[in-house]
Amino acid sequence: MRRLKLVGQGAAIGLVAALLGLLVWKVANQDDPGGVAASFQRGERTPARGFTLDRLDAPGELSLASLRGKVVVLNFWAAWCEPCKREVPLFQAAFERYRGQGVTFLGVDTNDYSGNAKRFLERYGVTYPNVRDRDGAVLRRYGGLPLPRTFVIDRSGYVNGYIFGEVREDALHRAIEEALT
Amino acid sequence: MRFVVAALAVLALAWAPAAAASEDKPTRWELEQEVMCPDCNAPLAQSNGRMAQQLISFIETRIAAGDTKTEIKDKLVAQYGPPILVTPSAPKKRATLADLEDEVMCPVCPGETLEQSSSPAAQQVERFISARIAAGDSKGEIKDKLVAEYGPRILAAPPKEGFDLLAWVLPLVGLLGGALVVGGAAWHWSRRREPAQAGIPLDPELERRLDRELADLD
Repeated sequence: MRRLKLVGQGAAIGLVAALLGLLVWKVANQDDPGGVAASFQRGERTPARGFTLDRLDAPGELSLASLRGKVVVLNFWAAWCEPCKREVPLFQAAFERYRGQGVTFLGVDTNDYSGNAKRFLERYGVTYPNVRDRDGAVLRRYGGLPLPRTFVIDRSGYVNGYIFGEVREDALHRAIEEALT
Repeated sequence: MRFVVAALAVLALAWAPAAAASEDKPTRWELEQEVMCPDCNAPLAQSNGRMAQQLISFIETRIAAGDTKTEIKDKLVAQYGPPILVTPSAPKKRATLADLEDEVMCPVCPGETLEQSSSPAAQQVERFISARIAAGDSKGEIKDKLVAEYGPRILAAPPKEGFDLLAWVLPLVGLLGGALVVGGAAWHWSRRREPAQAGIPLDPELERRLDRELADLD
């Protein structure tokens, strides 16, 4: 009987230890709250966190690392996001204006139905590359919702500018010019 | 109640002669629905190939010879094997938006299902589900397509695989463990109490007094 009691106690302690371990693991693996956006806003020199995602506008994948050496305007958007509809023509115009100066644009469609997202790109005549962050995992590393969010990344892969919400043309151009200098 | 029984009886009487007629005097049209074209994987009614024509002419000959439906089918099976007959498939359960609204999460509102959210992203998912229902997809097919579009987090219940399986298994383990502990404790408690109760010796003086009082009562 005493042995049975000891086994029971051991099992209970083991279960509690396993649950505690699970909790610690979950906390340790949680995304950094605020992500890249919060780090940049604290004034820290913030590297753009790498990712590789499926292309939305073409077959295959695209990684952020493959754009190293260029200034990258990274815009998180979705077809259901109203401000994203208003700002996308500004991105397309800026892409055409700066493309010969070592600047590229990368759209990240997030938490979105791919059919709607593709129609969005067609409707607004977007020609710069776009990728699909289907469950928002990359967006969370960059600060999460709400949308839109735009980061300007310098040639060495560090965040040089950040615009929260809908961009204005002058703010976008200024952020790109700063990253180019 | 009597009315319902009578109505059912009338229906059965009306249906029985028709069913018997169909069995005894089958029509070509009926059998075209129930027999497969072996080389085009479709019922004869939907096939135009040479093989289908041959089978239809065989059926017509057998009907003219007075064979019953079962006899014709048996002859076809003897010649081509059981796959020649159309097997009735279970009807696909039709999904509804209401069915899925509490099983699918809003992709951008933490902890909220579609039912609880009116965000534009949730409305987009609802439109997607409605379009798939209109296209005739089952509930399972729609869920698979949602996972392909938005990832597994779109489902309210965690998937029964990988690490997420723990969410299903742990409560069961907890319940089972709890039941074992309670059962073990009850068993242990009853074993300790019974011998103690049986073994309590009565004070001899008290026993004698009890005997006397019982005798007085008699």
